[in-house]
Amino acid sequence: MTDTPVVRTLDLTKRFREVLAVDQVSISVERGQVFGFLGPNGSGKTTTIGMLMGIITPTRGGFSLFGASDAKGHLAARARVGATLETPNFYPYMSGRDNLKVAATIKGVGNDRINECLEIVGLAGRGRHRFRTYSLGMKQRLALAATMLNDPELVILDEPANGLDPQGMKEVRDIIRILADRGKTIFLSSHLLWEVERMCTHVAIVRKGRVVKSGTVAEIVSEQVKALVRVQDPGALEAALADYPEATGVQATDEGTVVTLASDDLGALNRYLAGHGIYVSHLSRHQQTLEDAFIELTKGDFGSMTEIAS
Amino acid sequence: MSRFGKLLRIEVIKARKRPALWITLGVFTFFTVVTVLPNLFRAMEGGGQGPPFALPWIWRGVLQPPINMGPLFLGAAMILLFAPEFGWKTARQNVIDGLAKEHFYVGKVIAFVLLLAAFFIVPIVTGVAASIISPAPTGTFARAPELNHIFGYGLALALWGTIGFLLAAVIRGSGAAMGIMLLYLLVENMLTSVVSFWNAALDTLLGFLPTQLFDTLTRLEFYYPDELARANAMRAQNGMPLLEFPEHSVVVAFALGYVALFLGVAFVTMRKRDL
Ligand SMILES: Nc1ncnc2c1ncn2[C@@H]1O[C@H](COP(=O)(O)OP(=O)(O)O)[C@@H](O)[C@H]1O
Ligand SMILES: [Mg+2]
Repeated sequence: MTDTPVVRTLDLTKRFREVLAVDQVSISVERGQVFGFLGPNGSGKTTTIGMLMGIITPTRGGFSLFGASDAKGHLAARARVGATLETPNFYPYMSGRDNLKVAATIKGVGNDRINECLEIVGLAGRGRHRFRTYSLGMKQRLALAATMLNDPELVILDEPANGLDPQGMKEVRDIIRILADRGKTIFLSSHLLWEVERMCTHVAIVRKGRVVKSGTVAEIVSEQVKALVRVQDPGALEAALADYPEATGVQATDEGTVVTLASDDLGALNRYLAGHGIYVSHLSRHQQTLEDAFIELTKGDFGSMTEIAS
Repeated sequence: MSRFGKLLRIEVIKARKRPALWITLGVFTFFTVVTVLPNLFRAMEGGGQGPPFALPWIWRGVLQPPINMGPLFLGAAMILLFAPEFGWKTARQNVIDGLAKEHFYVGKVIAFVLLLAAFFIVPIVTGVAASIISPAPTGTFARAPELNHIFGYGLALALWGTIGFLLAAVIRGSGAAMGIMLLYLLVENMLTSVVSFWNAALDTLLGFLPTQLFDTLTRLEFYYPDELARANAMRAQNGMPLLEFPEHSVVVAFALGYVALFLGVAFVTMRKRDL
């Protein structure tokens, strides 16, 4: 039983008319992981979670939740899940408490649990106020309270820190950490890298609906060999590297040019460049961060990520 | 809690604090009372021709325009209760929280039935209360024609209520759904009045469109032979074509058919579309 993945998707695919939002996504989340589902805006994270939660019908492929892979099993499994999608979705004219009452009734949880959850997210004093009057941070916290109502084994949070100030983000992070410490499995989507880097044990990086990489944070960071090269004329370097079969990626940075290599042989790179009349002033193995890996893997389709990276 | 109890409780929590809903019901109640009052005053002054303003005759004085606007109000109320769940993404959240889409739909059907009951009861209670106040001699609650009339009013409620239900499920925005409901009402009426000039056979057929059916269901002449005789005498005098209605059972069958169709299409839409 402990071997059954909490979430497993197989070639999960969703097409909205001409947009292929999710393209054959196969991921597996094991019990106790803090799983980061990472990708730029529009890469299909929300759509993927939507399919897991039964609000979006997959075009192809399937998934299992706690081992259940049919509609009936999914519905039963959802009782063990707490999730929010995109924005906090509540009835604006109802109080925070009444909103939780709706969720609690659906989940079959008693009123005492509502108070507990309001307490945990620090909304006990504002429970009677209408949702409409809440600040964004309060709305996010109410959403967190709603996910916790049924004491779920799996918590799915879609961009949980979106639009929060640093203090709010820290609070969200603290709550997630508490949940993780209690042994919950956490599935976290984000386009904000540092969130993931600080909390996740495992990540999957998505780009244009496809998983381009997945594994532990350490695996993703260390797998690629990178070299930092400094030369007088970076343009000539890039031109020369275009014909170097071992170079799979070239990226100009403030420090110099970062070259992604298929093999670990920096000497060969140096010889090749010298052979093309390029003499390096600096050549070293480049220590990659998750952020570097992310940017490398999702290159070309994000304006927002470069902002975040800087 | 049983599944039904659970769905009921959810819908009650949602509806209880919804001002728009209570305003709609309140306005309808107000109209109902305002329509009945002049008749009641006349009865209290001991005047007026026609049947006494008391049970069972009172129903034709209660379930008449503008009270038969009740169904339209119900359609609007149903839209208000259903459509915003998409804009607020609360339908989505309900499903995420563990409600099957199908159960969400059933919850809305429960809300619809409760609302229909409310819109049904308002004129009934008003009629009974007016009859108690009225000095006219009171008979039984209702005889066959009045029972048909009351049932027909309920059916008219169901008809417009499910039109609102369907529009909410398909259009998913209360403003647009409301607009389309009124537009449809207009277009169908225009269409039938134009067609009735040209072709009597086609006109009969168009009589089975929802709005025309609704019109029939809320007409006094459809239920009371004396009203029909009076109306037709007047029409004969003015050289107008006489009023003719299809069999009651046919009208009822069509109306029930529409109700089932609208609820069915709403179900399929709910089930098929992403939230
Ligand atoms: N209901 C929809 N209809 C059409 N396109 C959609 C819909 N929902 C999402 N998309 C498209 O699918 C892609 C993935 O969106 P989304 O899953 O929201 O990405 P993310 O959550 O990673 O930002 C985007 O190109 C988006 O425009
Ligand atoms: Mg998203």
